[in-house]
Amino acid sequence: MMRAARLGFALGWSRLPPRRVAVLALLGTLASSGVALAVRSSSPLAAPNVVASLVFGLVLPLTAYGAVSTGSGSTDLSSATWPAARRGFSRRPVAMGLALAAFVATLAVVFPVLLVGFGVAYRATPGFSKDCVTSGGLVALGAAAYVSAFSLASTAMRRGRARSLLLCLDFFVGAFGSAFSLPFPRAHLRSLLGGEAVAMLSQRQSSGALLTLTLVAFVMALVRLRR
Amino acid sequence: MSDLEYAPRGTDSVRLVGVHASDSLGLRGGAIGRLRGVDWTFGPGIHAVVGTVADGTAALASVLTGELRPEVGSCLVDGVSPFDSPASRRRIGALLPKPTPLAGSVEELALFCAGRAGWEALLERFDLGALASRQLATLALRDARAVELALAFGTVSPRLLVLFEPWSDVRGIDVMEFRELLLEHAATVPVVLLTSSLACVAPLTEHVLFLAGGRFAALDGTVGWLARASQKLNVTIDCRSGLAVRELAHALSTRLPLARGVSWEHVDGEAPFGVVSVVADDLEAVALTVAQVCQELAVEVRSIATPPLDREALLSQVLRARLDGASESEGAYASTLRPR
Repeated sequence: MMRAARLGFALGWSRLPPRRVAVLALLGTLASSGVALAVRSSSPLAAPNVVASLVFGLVLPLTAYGAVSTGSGSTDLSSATWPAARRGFSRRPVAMGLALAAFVATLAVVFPVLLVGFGVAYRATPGFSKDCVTSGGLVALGAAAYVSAFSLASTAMRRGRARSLLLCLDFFVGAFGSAFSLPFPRAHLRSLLGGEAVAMLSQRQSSGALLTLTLVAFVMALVRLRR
Repeated sequence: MSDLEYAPRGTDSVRLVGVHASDSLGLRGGAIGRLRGVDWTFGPGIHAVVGTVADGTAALASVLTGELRPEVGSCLVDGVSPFDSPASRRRIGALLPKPTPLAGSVEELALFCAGRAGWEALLERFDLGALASRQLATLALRDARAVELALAFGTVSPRLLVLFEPWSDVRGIDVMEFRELLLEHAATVPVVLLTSSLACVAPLTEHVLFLAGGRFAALDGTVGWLARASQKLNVTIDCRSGLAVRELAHALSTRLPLARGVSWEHVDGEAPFGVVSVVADDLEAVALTVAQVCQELAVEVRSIATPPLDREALLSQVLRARLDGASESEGAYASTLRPR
């Protein structure tokens, strides 16, 4: 099983060229620092919030979506695991490896964007390190949730096109605090950043919901994927 | 469901029942070919499936190897669905339409597939030793397919071999060695050759299956029966002008009353030649008469041959034979088929 998972990780990583990951990280970093600079000149206290909104609202979901799509070879999860599955490996551990590669790639892009953005937004203002630690944890949790959700979506529709559907739903339905937003990571991440609560859930409950969402989506993806 | 069924034998190990499936080779993952209710049971031996991707050959390869689960129906290899069984998939050697590179080198994959004892010999046998250290993802298509072909033959304790167009886009394939390997494996393992060219499989097998529009148009027609279906003989002669070829065509049309048609063509150039085509039912008798006539007219014959059969001609012959009920009168054909 470990061998299959390692193979899946290597397979996913080989589909995510390091150069592309680096370019994405660079572009994201430029965008976040540009926004931080622009906002800081007018209202210095709001700059970190704007950077956090940019990172969690745009950079994180898009990067996770791109990482899962590219890591899956722009196809469904079953087909994505086929190169290893045809050699006698079970599809499930290979899919776990693919998801892990997508998770690592997402962190590799989003962490630098967050750090540089906060660095520019805070500059001499205190609170940089504390915010980095808190937001860093949230990035890891959010990335796990998004990668799991997109992995589950990759098992539905031809060539895993449900991924795009999920991205759209996350943007539009997840933007609200209603009960309909419960299954979407965006809603919980916004709540954890100090925004509107989701269906009256506390921040602690939203963290739990995000963790549950991650586990449930991941297990469902593996269950839907046959051996 | 097809209306002809291959009579199962005791040794049959692969069984497809009412299989409907689509490949994903089209634009944006759409289907090019579909299987529409394929029933097929077979055992060790070489089985050639002639058809194009649009007829469902790629979909059939995917179902047999466990890449695709049939939308309807089932595919079992030794009683196990390869889609659901990693152990079964590992024992299916396959050359598929698209290479599926893993991360790692050729050497690592060969070691995994053929075992520590056999991987080096396997690569050497296919003259792939120079590629051993190359990363799989960096191989050109022809090299990648050559590696996959070698690994298919190197499968440990194989239960099934599925080879999709093994003669095209494969680097440096030695036809004789390939034939030997096929025959060697076919003694114990079912080998499925999927191709659009009957000429490639004709010397290898007497089991030719005809896939058209996702269904088997004919099962287990022998190559001999299909070769006779062309019913055309081309006589190519040396001639400076069209006169000699016209004379030959005239003589043949009078000496062959049972011929269904005689036509001729003269081709100018550095070495001008003429071709007389005769369409008849009994080509062996026609060939004898042609030889006699050529001798009498003292023409220099380059060749007397049946033209290579194309898929469309074969399909029309098979369908016509079925419409005429001719399949029942063909001994080899009727012996292995039973109408449903």
